[in-house]
Amino acid sequence: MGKFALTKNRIVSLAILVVILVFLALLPTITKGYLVTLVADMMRYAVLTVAWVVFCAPTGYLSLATAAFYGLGFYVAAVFNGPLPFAVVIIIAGVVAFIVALLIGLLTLRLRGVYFTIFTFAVVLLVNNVVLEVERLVTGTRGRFVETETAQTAFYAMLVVLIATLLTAVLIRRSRYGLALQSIGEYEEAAAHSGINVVMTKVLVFATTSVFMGMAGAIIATRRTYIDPGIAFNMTTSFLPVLMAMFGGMGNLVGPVIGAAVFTYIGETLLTRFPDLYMLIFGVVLILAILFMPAGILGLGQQLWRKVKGGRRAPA
Amino acid sequence: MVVLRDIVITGLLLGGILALVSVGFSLQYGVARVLNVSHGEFIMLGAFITFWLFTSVDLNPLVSLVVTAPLIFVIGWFLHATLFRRLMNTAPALGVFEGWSMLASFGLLYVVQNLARIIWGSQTHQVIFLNRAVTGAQIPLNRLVALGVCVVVGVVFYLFLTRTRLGKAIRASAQDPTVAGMMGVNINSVLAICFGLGLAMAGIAGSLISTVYAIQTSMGLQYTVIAMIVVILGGLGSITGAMIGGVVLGIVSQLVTHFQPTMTFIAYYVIIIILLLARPKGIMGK
Amino acid sequence: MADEETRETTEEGLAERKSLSRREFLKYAGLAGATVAVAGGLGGLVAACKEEETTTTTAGPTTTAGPTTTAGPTTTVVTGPEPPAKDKIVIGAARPISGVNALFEQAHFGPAYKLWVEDVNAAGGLNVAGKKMPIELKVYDDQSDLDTSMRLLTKLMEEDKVDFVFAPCSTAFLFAAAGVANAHNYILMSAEGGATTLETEMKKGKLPWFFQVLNYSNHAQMPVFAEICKELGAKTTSVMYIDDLHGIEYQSQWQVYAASAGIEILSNTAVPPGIKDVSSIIKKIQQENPDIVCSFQYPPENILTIQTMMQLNYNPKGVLVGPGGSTQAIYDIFQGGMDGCMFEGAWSPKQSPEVQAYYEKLVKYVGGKANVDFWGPLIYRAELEFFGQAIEKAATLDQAKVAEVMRTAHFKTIMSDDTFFTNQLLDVSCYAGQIGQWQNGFPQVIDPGPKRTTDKIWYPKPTWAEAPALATASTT
Repeated sequence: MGKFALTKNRIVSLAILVVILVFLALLPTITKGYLVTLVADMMRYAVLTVAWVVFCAPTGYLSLATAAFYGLGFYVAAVFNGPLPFAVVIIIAGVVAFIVALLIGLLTLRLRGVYFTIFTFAVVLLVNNVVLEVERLVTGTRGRFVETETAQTAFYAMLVVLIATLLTAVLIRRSRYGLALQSIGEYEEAAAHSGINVVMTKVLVFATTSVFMGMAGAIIATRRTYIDPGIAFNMTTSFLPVLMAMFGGMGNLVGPVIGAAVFTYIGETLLTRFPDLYMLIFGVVLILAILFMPAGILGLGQQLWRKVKGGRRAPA
Repeated sequence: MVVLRDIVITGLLLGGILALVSVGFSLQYGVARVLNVSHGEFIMLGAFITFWLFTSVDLNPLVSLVVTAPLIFVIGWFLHATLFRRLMNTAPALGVFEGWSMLASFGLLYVVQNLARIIWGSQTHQVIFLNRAVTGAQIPLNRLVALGVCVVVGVVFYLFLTRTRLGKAIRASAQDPTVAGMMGVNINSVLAICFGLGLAMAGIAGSLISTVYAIQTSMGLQYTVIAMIVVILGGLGSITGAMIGGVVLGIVSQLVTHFQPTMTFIAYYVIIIILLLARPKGIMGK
Repeated sequence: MADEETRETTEEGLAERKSLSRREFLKYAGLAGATVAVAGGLGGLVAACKEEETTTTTAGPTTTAGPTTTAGPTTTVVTGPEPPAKDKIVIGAARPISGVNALFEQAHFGPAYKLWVEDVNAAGGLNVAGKKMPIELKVYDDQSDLDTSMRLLTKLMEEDKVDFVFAPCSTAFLFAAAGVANAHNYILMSAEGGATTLETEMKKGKLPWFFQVLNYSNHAQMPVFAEICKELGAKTTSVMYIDDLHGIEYQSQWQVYAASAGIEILSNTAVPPGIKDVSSIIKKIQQENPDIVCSFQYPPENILTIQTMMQLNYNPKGVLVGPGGSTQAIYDIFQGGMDGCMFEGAWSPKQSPEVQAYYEKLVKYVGGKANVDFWGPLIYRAELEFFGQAIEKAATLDQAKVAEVMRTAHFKTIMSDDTFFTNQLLDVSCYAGQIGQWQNGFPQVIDPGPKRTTDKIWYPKPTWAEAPALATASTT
């Protein structure tokens, strides 16, 4: 009975997903306008947020290193786009992010909780300053110009990366790695004793999810003409996915996507409608959201749904 | 030798400021478990209230501490009693509460910064106060005063924690809130006071910073970042740790600035990373 | 919720029982997933590339219809241009209302463009082919964030379809915005910012829609400063520069022009933005004892540098202060201490009665003297007056036609009777001045030649301690 309902649910959600993807794939052919840019931006945040959630939500390790991998993607695009095809550039960005994430992952093995968080935060600032210093000494300037791509190309590339991110996320969550991450989050020592290769699991998943952050960076960079370390390694990029994930809810993968989309949309609306009070309204919304829907938008939705359902059924 | 002496002295002075910025942050996380991203905004608030009093009624910045500290304490107490207490009561686990409270403090960051911008605008200001060196030695007086206040605040707070009933309650709550609650400590009240004290220290730091550095209403986040680094260096939740962390960072930063200024911030983060690798819980961490 | 838990536990059980097969399954699933992803990626990219081709071909005609065919219509239209169908001109901008650059929107380009729009509307609007069209502003907050700024700029162009845009704030944003303007065939006049790098890109013909307005190091400020140093007989300088676009560029250009004026640079120190103590650098410079200290830094670091010099009682004969040095705010902080300091800029209300009137209007508009800057606002005013006249002359809101007028036409503006662009750069002759000096609380232009507004340059500058006394003495 329960199983049947679940599969039905799964079919429905799969169908919804397919419809959304088809819609997204067709979007640039329907409109050439601003919507393409906006949705590409939403997808960028969705990639970052989902990639962040896969590692951070089950383990409770709150990483703020997103901007580091994302920014490396920027620099890969600045260096390689043009001489190399765009697709290759994106893959290189992923590989670079993977290697750096592997290193960071190995360095942070002993760190827990907020120490891990601030370590990753420091990593971004370190990379930012090192790149700045290297650029000053090597190129004698601060920024670089990037070979640009059209909004449509960037849109499709981002769509592909988003699909790949979601697929990977689902695979990781449903594999033994997913369970391992869960048990690491619950009790790391116990997980280690029960035969889970804690180190391997943490580092590998951390690095894998970082791949997509690097790819997203490489794609966005080609829409920017000019980049410099402050733009590439902007701390906002590290904080936003956390906020979006919490805003959307982290129970499953739909939450972060919704969070990213709604968050971007609210931000945009406020910035354009109330430019002088943007921060004030945004801050109040954030506080109210955390007070009254701590499980995120999705959590709130589920709660409402349960109430509706509960109302229909006789109380047990 | 002169160079070394200079580095140590200026490093200590800088360290005093860094420690002052960080002590409150450490307290808020150590006891109230709020990773307060809006900490720097209250430093900004303290700085601008001081600036405002200085320009409008010509109030001595040191005297304005009497205004900023209690005022911001009340704000902090109120915030905890309403916002964070509610979050604490609804959160299923400590980890969840930490996440939520950080998100809420992000909201605060936005709100406070926007309000400050409405009141004071975006212009750069500074309070020129004791802008001279101690005669004979090249020690800037305003920084010396900041270091002095930092030491006084540290000592007073240490005595408060060890000698008073409330202080002992705070320490007990920091170690184990549940047990402390069972022992008759009014945990809610203690946490609210603690959070308020942390913010009050941000206010004090802000008052002094307005005499040392240029201030803008958008300056908050950079001080939060400094606080994070110092506190991690010293060990979260440890007041002495924040002091030591500040001084260590101050001296190292002066040392690097002396030889290659552009490496200063790289040095900050390299120290953090090396230290965390060697001692994952900071200098004073257990 | 409970359902999910049971599902998970049963699956876990399954996984344990048939762990091998499950693992294998996962392996294959992973492989399959990867191939699907890669194939999807390639497919998508191929599609995207095709898409790109089609868009470029569709975009092709529009771009060629832009600059190249402009000559056509203007010559063929003999009966005189028709006024636009709409009633007002909408100008959009993504500006830093919040964030680290907010100061610029409050006190630099912000008040300049708002005041201009008010003035234009008070006069009934711009006269476009015989029709008076008032201007409506559409300003968004870009949070001083480049990503947001570029997205909102795109929104203004693609969705709001504004008639014109104003530039975002700061050089890095200008670089990126120039790309956006190019892609959409929009005129982009710079506001705060500008750099030699942009000039090289412009020479390559990559930025046909970009107009550089603000003066900067190479073609304007550093040559003039070198001349001033020569005039003063200064032989040596020590340089502190911010490790960022502004500083890196200014110090490199200063090296070039200092050398040509026979001035020796004793030291050249890069300072990271956000530094909290510069005393060791100042002490070193003190030992070198240069004639002039150049501080090519940002306002917070410049303020820290001046303060540290005061505390160490170090009085060089001349000090050049970079961004922020030209603001009334910095003078208000140090009061008479700033007297004798030179700054990058520059204009002075003393230039002419019109400039004095504009200064008074600006003071009123920004709520007091404290928010006035003596580098950009006069230049921005001139740029906007030029722009308005260009639209009126083109007698259309068409970007290409207005741009064509802007490239070639000469207009009278508040700053110069003959304001014009050379190779899309505002001509050096148009500026009110390049270098200024605070004298008794007044900003004075000290460029050699007729632009100078003061009898003499204060050199050596008064010591920090005696400056305020001097200021009161001279006013009595």
